[in-house]
Amino acid sequence: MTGYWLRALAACWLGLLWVQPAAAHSSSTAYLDLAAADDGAVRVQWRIALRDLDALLDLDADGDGRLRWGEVLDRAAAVVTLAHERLHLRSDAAACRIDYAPLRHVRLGELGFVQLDGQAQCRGRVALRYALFDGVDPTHRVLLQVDGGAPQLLAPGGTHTVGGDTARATLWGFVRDGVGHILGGVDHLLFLVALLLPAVVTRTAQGVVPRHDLRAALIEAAWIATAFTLAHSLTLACATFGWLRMPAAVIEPLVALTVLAAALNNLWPVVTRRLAAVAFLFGLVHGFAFAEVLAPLELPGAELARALLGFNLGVEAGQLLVVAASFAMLAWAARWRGYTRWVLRSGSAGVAMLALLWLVERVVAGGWLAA
Amino acid sequence: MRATFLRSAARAVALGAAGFAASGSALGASTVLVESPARETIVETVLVSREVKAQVERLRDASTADPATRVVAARRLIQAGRASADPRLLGYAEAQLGTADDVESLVLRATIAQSQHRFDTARALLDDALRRVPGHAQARLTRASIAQAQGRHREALHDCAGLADRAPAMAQVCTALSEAATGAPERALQRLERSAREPGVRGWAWSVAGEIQLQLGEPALAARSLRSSLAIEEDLYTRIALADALLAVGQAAEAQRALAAAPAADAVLLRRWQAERQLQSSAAPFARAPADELERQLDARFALDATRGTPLHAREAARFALDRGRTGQALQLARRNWSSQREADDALLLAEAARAAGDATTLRELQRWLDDTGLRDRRIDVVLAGSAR
Repeated sequence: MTGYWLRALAACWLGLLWVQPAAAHSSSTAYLDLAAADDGAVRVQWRIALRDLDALLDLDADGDGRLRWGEVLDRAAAVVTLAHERLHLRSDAAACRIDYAPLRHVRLGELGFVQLDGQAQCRGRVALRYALFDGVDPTHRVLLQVDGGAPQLLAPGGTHTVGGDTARATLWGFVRDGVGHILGGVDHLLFLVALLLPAVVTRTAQGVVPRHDLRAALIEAAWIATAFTLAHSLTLACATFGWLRMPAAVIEPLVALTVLAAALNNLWPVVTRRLAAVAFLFGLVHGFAFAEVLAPLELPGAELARALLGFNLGVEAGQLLVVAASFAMLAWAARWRGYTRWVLRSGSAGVAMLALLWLVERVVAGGWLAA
Repeated sequence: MRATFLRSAARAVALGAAGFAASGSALGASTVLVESPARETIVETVLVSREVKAQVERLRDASTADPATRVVAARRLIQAGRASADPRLLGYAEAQLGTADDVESLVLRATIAQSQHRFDTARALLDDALRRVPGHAQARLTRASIAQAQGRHREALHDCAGLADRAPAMAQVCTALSEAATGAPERALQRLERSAREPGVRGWAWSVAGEIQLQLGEPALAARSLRSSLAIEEDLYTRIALADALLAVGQAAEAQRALAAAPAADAVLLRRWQAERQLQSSAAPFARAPADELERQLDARFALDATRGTPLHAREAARFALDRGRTGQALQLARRNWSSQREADDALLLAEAARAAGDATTLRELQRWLDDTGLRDRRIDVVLAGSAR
């Protein structure tokens, strides 16, 4: 009985029992601005109140109750470590590490802040996890602003997806990826060129002569490109959705093999008609190779479909560009008497040698020789 | 002579505070200066104590302290938070307790929730605690306080009576608070006169008496009672009430002096600003700077609160808007405040805001509420009489 009385008294003495209006300094608030650039770089500007950093890291080394900038700088490493621990950006594929520039100081209203400027390389949608004061001060909030949009509040442990509302941006991102992939993928291009080389000529009893009917030549080239496209789209989709996967160690040498086969076929023709069928068959292999770009992203369903569409559109656009340019050049070159010898045969020989080189290289890299 | 001296001294203090804000320079401006200052530059002066930092460190480690240690730590953090008016410390205390559901933890969690104006949460926690230990005096008193803050005096009186066995002196002060809010302020004052002799509740009794005297339109008497309370024990709430009493009798310089050492809580800044304005209107308006700086500071704080969605300071924010003539905003804030708090001060605020905005409906609703509860407040009467004319 007296226990409660004493406790109540003690509590009263502590001032716990008094009804007070919440007369308060401002609560703990941080500011986080994210800006995503077109190239996938994410710019981070994070402002944390010095009084909050001091509460977490005891920056006031001399304990005089006043914080000097030098005291903050001396613990800059600890501040950056805290930043790494407490703000995570995850790209669709993996964590994107934020690199922070040296600390700077900024005053907002009556409080001093540390400004952390960071840069991260992320691709596509970015998932953010904010954990400053997680488990320490549940009343802490961060005012998050993405690309200058309306600020939103996040509590410790809160997450936010950046770019979720920019499905279109994601789509375009993947279109660009697709174009980049095909233009940068010399093996895919050479395969196409190898198939196109004989398309502008025709084999007669007198030997190989340029085609006079350019329209027919164009149609054949279009068929080849379309068959290739259909095939690689098919396997790309299968692999991306996880229905059918092939290890890169198998696919990469196989791609080299298709290029080699296409080139050798120009030198010692085995298949002279229905090149489109060859394009289709070999295109299946190339599709698996394209899938290696998308599959590791492990995108969720709808996102994945969008990514696939964008990437494929990009690949086709790049491919169309190459086919159009190559066809125009080849059709013009085919009128030259030396075309067969210097372009068709020498070109194919060059491609074949390169493909052979890749084949060996990729077989070695894939551990085939060791096995 | 003395008054002049006091005034200039008070102004120097206010200037000091204003200078602090002025160095921010970013206030209100759209551009902020990001820089790398010299090592010796002082970049922050309001820091938590080493003891608090040690508690934060423990929280970061997520070390498994036993519940009793956590309760002690939380209690100290709440105490420090109250003294410094730093809401972050309540957050740290909240983290200390987590979801612990022993009776002591429940009561402390309720205390924190109450301070954060999460009244429903606080009540639920206290109901739980009192179900398990019906005689828990602190739980009962805290629950009574919440009921009083929300104008539910029947419930409050029930809990006050429940204290009579274990804490009779507290039961008296508790009862007086509800009596004063239900039409019996004189009886409440008599009750408090007896309590003012009881050890343990003397300071509290004087403070409550001061508030009731303010309500009765006796600010000079109120100031005396509130000073008596502060002489017994320091308390920020009482100090703010004292500033109100002094401002009510036109002693702005005294009000500034009363708040000179108070932490820069919103309620404190608001009174400092009111005092500056009063001084300016009474003397020649030679320097508007201190009031302007305080005004900017308060503006920034309330804007941040609005952004953060913390309705904690609706009372102060409404008063601030009202005093600046922003009647629409003031009424909106006063109404929001009224939806969570219904003390005499809140009713007064609503009356003034509604009158300034010419909102007859709100005034009628308020009058009905006053009739129902029996609350008598001279200050409110003046406002209502003024608007009736």
